[in-house]
Amino acid sequence: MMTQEKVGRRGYLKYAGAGIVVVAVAGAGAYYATRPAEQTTVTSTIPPKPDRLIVRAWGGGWQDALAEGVSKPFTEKYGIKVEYDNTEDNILQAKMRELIPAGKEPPVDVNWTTTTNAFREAIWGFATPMSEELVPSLTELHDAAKPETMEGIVGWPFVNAYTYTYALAYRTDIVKEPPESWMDIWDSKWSKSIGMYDDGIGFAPDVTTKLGGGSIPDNMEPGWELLRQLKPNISFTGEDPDLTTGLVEGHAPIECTIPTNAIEAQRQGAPVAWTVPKEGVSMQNDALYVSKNLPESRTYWAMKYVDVAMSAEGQTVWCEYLGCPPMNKNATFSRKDDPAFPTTAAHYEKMIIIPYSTRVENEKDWFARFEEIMA
Amino acid sequence: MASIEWKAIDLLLFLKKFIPKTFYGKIAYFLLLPGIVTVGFLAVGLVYLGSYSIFKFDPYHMVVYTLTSENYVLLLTNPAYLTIFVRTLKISLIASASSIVLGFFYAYFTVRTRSSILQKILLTSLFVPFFTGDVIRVYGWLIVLGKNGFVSYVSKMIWGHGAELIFTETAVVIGLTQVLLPLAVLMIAPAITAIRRDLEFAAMNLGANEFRTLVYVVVPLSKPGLIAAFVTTFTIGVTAFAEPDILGGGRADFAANVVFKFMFNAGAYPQAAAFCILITLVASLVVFVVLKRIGLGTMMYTRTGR
Repeated sequence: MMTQEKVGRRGYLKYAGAGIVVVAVAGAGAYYATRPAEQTTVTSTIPPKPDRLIVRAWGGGWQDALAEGVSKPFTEKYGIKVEYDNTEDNILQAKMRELIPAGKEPPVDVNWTTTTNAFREAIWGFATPMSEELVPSLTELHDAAKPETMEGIVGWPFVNAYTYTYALAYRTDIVKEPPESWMDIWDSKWSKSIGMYDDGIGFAPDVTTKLGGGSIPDNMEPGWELLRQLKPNISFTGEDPDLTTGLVEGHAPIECTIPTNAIEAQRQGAPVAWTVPKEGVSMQNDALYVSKNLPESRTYWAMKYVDVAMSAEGQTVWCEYLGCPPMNKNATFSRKDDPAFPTTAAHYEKMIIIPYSTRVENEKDWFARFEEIMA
Repeated sequence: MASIEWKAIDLLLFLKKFIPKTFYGKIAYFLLLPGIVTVGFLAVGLVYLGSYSIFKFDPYHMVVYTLTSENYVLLLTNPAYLTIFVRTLKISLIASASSIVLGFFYAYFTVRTRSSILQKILLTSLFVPFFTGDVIRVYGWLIVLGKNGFVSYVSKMIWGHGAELIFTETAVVIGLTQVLLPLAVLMIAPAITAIRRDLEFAAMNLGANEFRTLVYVVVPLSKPGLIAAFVTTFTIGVTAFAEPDILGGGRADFAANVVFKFMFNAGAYPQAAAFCILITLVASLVVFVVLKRIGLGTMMYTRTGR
């Protein structure tokens, strides 16, 4: 009779545990050993058309604006369908951080994201640089459309598509007099009445530092102290849809938000207006870029998509719908007299503009500080 | 149909010939494989998290592969993050306890009712929430608890002013309790089913009223279900995201919300990973202490061979 070697339950589980550890370590090793891919090359010869292009877009009215102003004329002109990926920009960034360094194809051909994200992603090499030869409309843009230069950012890795402000929006049925100063919202009568973004963007530290008499990034304590004092008045913090809902439902009759959300609240029937307080408002941009690691044909046609987006015709419809001043000098814009949509030198004097390199370098600390105060 | 089953059994018997006889006693262990694979994936994720948590954050490159303890030091020394930790545990415990108390009576009534129609209604009501996502249920509460919602309306009728429930910890407790309640009922109901009704009658025959019978007979015998309900609801509660996000409105963040903001708003993967590791350790510790001090819940059945 054969002698059977005893492997008890504990022994079995021990071996299984060891196996799990080996799998985990091997998996981690494989991950860290992944090599970056070679950079995509683009030729100026016309490559075959793909069946479709995938564009990352914010959903709802944002996607509708892009569809009407850019995708529709693009499809009519080139016969290429456009599909949308509504993955949140920061979540898509996390996906691309896994895919692009591993040499894999990203999920979107054209990424429509914030300029802060585009700036960071360009530094990481996620964007295929655009040329004025392939994207002729780049030559028709204001200087502000060109990316801020620094190490890793040269030429057109992305293009700033339009500007937007973080204005003071309010419910006209509750706030009878439009606030002239940001300081008005510190009044205790606005207890649990203020809404803003969940990382403070557009308000803290941009506005608070200015109100506190400090400077970014060296002397921000007075601004943080002001935010701490405002805390009892803050009803909630959230993302774009939450801020729109906040205005519509009246959860926050006063908000620091981009006017696009206030316009959306108006479309839903809420009595909403907005103003630029005398201290000014934060101004930022959104951007477009063509992803890296795409097949050559998709890279080419993605650039053509950006070309349509930045053309005078595309910008006129797209930016009008969004309520954001266009970057194309020849585009028209109906709200050009409203300082919340800056188009003139006088408007720009009231804008609080922080360089994107400063934002990228310090944003994590600012967000953490905001979270600390809100906790 | 039957012939297919027999063919399958014949095939298994045929394949059995290729298994060395020394393995016969251990075949059952192979049934653990799916569990091991699942735990293996979890382990891979934890290894990633663990490794990220000890690397440095860099604003341009996000992660720099230089070892550091600063992520843990930051989280353990900053009062704001400790507040969020304590809030996460506190609200999870309250919501878990609330769902267990409410779930106990719901389960008891469902099991003991003599009306089959009522029993079916209660069971259907229990499963309906599973057909909708957490986010939808929580949005429902946003409407109910909102400034112009039902609760505020009733409050105005009675006291002349609206209730300020939305974007508070109370709103999160309410929303989380509702999400956890069906899970608690599902865990407790089998334990109550296993209690023989005769034992309750015996207690009452000996002079115990219904309340004493409940406290001294039904509750102690339901312990396996109650423990299982606690472990399930507490661990799910600790990882809640939608409830604090939507009903807390950034004013009652849980650990998961902070992890999300660290990761997706700031790209601070190392801090996010450190936060994940800490909350996993703390939640595991709470569950370990409960299991060690009170018992193994439903697992007791297998241990005692009942």
